[in-house]
Amino acid sequence: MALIDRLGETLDSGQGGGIILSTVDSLLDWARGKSLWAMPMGTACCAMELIAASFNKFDFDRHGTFPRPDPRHTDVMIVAGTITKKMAPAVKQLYEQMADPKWVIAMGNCAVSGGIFYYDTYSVVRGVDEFLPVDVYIAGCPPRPESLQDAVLRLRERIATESIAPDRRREAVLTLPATGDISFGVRPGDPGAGGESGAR
Amino acid sequence: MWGKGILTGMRITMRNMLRGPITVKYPYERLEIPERARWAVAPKYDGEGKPKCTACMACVRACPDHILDLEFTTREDKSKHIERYSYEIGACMMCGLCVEACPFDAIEMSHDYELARLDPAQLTYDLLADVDAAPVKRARPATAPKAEAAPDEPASTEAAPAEAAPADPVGKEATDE
Repeated sequence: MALIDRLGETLDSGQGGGIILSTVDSLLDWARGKSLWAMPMGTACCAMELIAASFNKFDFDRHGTFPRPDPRHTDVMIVAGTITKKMAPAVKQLYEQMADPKWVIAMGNCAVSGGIFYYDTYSVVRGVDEFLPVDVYIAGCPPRPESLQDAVLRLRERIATESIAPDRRREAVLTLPATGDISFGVRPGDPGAGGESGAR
Repeated sequence: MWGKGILTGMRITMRNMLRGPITVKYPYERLEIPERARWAVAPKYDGEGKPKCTACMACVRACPDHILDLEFTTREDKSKHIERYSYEIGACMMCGLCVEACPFDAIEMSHDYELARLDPAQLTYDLLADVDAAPVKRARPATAPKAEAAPDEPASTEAAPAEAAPADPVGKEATDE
């Protein structure tokens, strides 16, 4: 077991170590969440949106995410695009080269579920979660760059629930709108009601 | 002119330097989405809050990836009740073929693009669940018995219903609209 896990367990075992543990957890989760360097595993059209998210109109360096080409320097792998069966072992190898702690964002419908190739093809892997543990799924074909930034913010919220003590989970503080609250469609009484398409 | 290249380049640099940042600071600022942008499929409702969907399954047949699934039950008076209209947004390519195929204008491509989810089970959800399907507007009831046709009706009104006797709700709806 790693030294940091042992430290976490010792602090968690009572006798007043909890206050140090919670401070250390806050600091580590803040540091990790606010500077998620990304491995841009972009293979197809979603890679264009990933690159657009890093350019100056939708800058995601504001959120601390910075594309690094080397997996050993990165925290999060953003799989953007279709992964074929031929490419899958390469993606897995790159994922294994990343240092812990690491996360995966599956961007776009091809990485989430096979997307446009969901129904009838022999060569596409139906979703990256067949061989990688995915933390955030971004639906969309391709998702807007703001949607990728939204995913990074949600990943940051998820990271804020982690702790160096192996069995402990911190309380989640959610400031982004809960996904169950998003209402679809235009109901009467909404500002866009009356046959117009839903504009928000 | 000697040095013209560098002057042109510096003019472009200075123009951009005086322009100011163009960053859209999401999530505090959002861009306005174009009117025809296609994002998540959403059901439409009529003036009383009831869905306009008639459970005709045209969208289910039109979807190239078969991600829409509509289950309904038909009652004795031929009205339909939608049990579940599920939609897998994780596999949708947002082509809009379902919206184009719908003859009753009951679904639309909404502008909801913030589709990041932590839980993959949230990527398949129900657009409509346990609601009555909207009735299809007809010029005459579906099961009108022929004996009730009065003998003194003009020939034109008798000819028209006889012609449309294999009651085609889609055709009727198109001519009604």
